[in-house]
Amino acid sequence: MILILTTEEGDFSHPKFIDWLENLEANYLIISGEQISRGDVNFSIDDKNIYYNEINLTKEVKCVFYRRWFSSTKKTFTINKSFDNQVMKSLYSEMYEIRDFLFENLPKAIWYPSPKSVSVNKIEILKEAMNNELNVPKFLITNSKKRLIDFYTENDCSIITKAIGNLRIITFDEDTINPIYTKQVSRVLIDELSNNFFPSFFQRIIIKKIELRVLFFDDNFFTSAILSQENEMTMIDSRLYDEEIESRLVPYELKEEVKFKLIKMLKSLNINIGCIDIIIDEKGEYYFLEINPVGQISGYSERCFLNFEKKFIENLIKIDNGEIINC
Amino acid sequence: MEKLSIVNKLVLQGLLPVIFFNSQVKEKQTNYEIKKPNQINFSIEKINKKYLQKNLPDGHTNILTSKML
Repeated sequence: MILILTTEEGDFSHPKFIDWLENLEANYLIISGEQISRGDVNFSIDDKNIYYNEINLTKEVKCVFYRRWFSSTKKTFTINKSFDNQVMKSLYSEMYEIRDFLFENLPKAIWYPSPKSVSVNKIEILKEAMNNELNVPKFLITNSKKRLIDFYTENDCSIITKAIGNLRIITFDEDTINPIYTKQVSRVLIDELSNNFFPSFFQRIIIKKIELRVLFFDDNFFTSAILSQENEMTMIDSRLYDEEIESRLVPYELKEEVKFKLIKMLKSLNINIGCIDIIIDEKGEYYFLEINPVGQISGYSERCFLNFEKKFIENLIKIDNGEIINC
Repeated sequence: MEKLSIVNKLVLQGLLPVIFFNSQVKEKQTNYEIKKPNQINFSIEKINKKYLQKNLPDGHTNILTSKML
């Protein structure tokens, strides 16, 4: 059996995978954390097995596709908001304990992504990329204004900042504050910072000719080129687009040498599925930026006719049928 | 704008990471709208039709939820 773990909060990549599971008549089951928390189904763990209704997951599940688990969206239990927030945090933590147990206790299952890579450290990834001879734009994590000024000068006054890990959207009354987009850092901003500030990530800007979004599972790569330089808004972060003028996307074939280095890096990090961000500069040099093991897939796959979802589900079905034993 | 200036002030005071400076402030989305399957691709409409026949509760029109019922 193929198990899909997801959340009802919204994961825009999952419907196409489910479509192909149906289309290819796979033996599959979808579980969300919310479904279990609400008691829509019977879910139990005893000293030997994990059960979903009458299904013994411990024995049945041959592969798992993990697409998140439980929403942290605030819910109303009482009229006291503070109480409700604390209850929600507590429930969230408890549900993630269950998920962590699933990670380790479906002995027959091959996981996508592998559990250890779900929360892989982004700095560790950059170091591993460099160990595998991939170009990585110079970066610095610091809380020191003096060190930041030196880094800014050393890198031709052209640097960006982004989150070190996965910063969450913050809710502020009826609004949300979203810190996920990469931003250029100006000297004016640096001058305004205090001598020591909250540790932040900075990186040299590489003037890009093309930006690549590489979807992959195991050794299979499906690449789209984002022509983000055509629009001023998307030059620093292609996700920040003008709704009327989206960046053009075209299929792209990675160089074999780059694929080889990526495969080596992914194996050493135990990452078997995800999205890789790469940029190519004006001289044609590749620069590795980051990997997201649970990234958004379907937009790129659909717009570039990559057919990632079908090929991935065919792979899961082969695992479920015993045609692939270990990846 | 007022909220943005509070966030910016916290960055300059060293209490928030620099990435928060001039962050996007948007109205909170309370109802997550999951795209209806027939907006997504070719065959999901057919699949969904099968599940929609099961009298789905209000707001549960996505393929994920329908498969769970």
